[in-house]
Amino acid sequence: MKKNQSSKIVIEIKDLWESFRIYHHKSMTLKDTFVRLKKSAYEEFWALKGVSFKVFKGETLGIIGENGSGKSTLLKCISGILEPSKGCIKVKGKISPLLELGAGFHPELSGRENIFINGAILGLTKKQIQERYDKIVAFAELEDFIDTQVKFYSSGMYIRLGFAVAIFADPDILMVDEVLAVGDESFRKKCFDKIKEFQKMNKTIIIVTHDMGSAYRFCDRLVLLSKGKINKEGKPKEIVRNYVNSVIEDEKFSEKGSKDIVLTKVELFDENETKQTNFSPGDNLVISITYNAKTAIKNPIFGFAIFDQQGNHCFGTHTKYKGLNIPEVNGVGLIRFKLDSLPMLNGKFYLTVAAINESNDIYHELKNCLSFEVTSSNDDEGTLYIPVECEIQSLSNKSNTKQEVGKN
Amino acid sequence: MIAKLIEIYKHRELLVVFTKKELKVKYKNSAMGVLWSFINPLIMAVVYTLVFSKLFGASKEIKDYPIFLLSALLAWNFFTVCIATSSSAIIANANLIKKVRFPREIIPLSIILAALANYLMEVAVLMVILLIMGYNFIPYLPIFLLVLILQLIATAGFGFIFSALTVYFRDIEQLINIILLIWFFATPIVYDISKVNKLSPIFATALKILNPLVSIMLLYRSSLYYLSWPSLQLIIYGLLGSTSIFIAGYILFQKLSPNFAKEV
Repeated sequence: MKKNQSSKIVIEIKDLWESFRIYHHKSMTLKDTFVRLKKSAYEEFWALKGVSFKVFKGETLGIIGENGSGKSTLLKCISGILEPSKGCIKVKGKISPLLELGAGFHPELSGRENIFINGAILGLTKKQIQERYDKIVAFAELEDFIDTQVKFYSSGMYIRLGFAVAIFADPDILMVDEVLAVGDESFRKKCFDKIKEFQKMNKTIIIVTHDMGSAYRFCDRLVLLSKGKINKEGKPKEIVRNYVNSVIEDEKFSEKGSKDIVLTKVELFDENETKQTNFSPGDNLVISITYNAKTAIKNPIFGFAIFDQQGNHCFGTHTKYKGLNIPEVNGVGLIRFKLDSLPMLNGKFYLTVAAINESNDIYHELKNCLSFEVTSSNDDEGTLYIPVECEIQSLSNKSNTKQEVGKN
Repeated sequence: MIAKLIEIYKHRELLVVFTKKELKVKYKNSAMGVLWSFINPLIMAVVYTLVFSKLFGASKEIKDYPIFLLSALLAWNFFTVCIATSSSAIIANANLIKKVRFPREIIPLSIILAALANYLMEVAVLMVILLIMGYNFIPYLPIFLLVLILQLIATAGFGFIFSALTVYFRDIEQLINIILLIWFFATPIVYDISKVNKLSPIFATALKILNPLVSIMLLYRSSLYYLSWPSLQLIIYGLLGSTSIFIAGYILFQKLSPNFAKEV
């Protein structure tokens, strides 16, 4: 997937600034304009503040960042939909904007007619579209509906047709904006395969995404935008980690509660009782929580929860579920949860710990207070770790071997 | 400016596709389809003839009032369709404007070309009627072609102006019908300009200078109805009027179109 970057620059962006007007009064009418001639009816909002970077031929660049960080504005500037307020952009080659697939489909017209219209919008001649027509229809899997008006299409069909036209427009630079998150699994796989094919053809690709997984898998280089500026630029591995951490520090970590019991320290240990934040699938792990109860608290419950990068709740439990009844705590103490055999395969996970009472009132909760990483040392795929043994048994009479092949 | 024109030329195929789309969408789902472009002017002609020639007695002064009327009315209808459609066109195509790069001029231009196709069909029918009624306009075809080109240039100019301004002032979409109504009576379509000339020659001249459509309608009439060569002065008025509107509209459109994607 990675290829030797020729130093040919295909996109060069120098000190790009882009502003929008935020209107305080939505209606833009003649009367408004004349009445508010003196007062400014809008505010200048800078979506991009001095962004500079280069894109080289054949590389796959990912642009990541939180909502409102300027990703889509940047893509629109590159594709020439928006004119920069300041700065300059140089682009060599034909760009296919994948900005929202199916842009420009006319609902009253059939799929066939829309292929020709959309193809022309993407810069294809009629002859070129005719040559690719069958491939486009086959890729979109719309053979039976191609003469149906697009307004009767399901949203999935709509997106498939849009992606198919865009991908067969044969651009030098392919731009993908969040589209990989849509469509069913098999179509997504097809799109990914097509993107890989583009990579093999040494085409330049720019992907804008929230999905760290695809950013990590596809991109040679990532640009992390935050509030209209480039926060970091570099290899996917470093950037993704950086991104996730910055999101955590900014947004995710929080604490709350009455603080009748305070959780003063949370630590993770491996089975050898050494502090650890990196684990392998199947490892044992100990969560150690130090508490301090200022007065005597009756029947407290201590618990923890594990979330993944996307914020999915992976697991959670507490002392009461586990049959540990604590009649009373007073002063400083230690709670230890021993976790046997981590069932995660890969990824970063966040730990939340809390002390509550029986009616779920929170004494103290530390949300996303710690993170740990699970890294698989073998090639297993997916999100869960399942210990697998495989064996082969020949059922013919020739030999009677029973062989264990793999175990991990 | 030249670079922009070259870019539009490079996208000529897109212009054709958009024009076809306009036409297809227009007649999709309507049972009578293209027939409407004949029924509409026919009914208008009947109504105006009844009102103006019978009620107001224009038939006494004007020979073959329906021919007199239609020779300008068809062109006016063509103009009206272009202006009304292009004033809402940019907003209607917001989806496209915000997502894809292409010369924005294509949108008003494709509307004009689609309407032109309709207009030519109507004119063809009118020409058959003219020949049947003994109006031999064939020697004056060059004038007809000239004025057709002038009208296209002027319409493109007005199309640029209204399509661009509506993005910033949404009221124009509502206002346009009133503007067109006043404009209709400020253009010699149902009446003869010579009548205005008799009442106030200065007013008639002012109308000719301020309203580029006056000279266009008069040129249409001289080629299809009066069957006479127009004065050079009239041709120059038409030429100057339409080119200056085109240039003004084009410049305005260039100024406003880069920000369409932010405003729609």
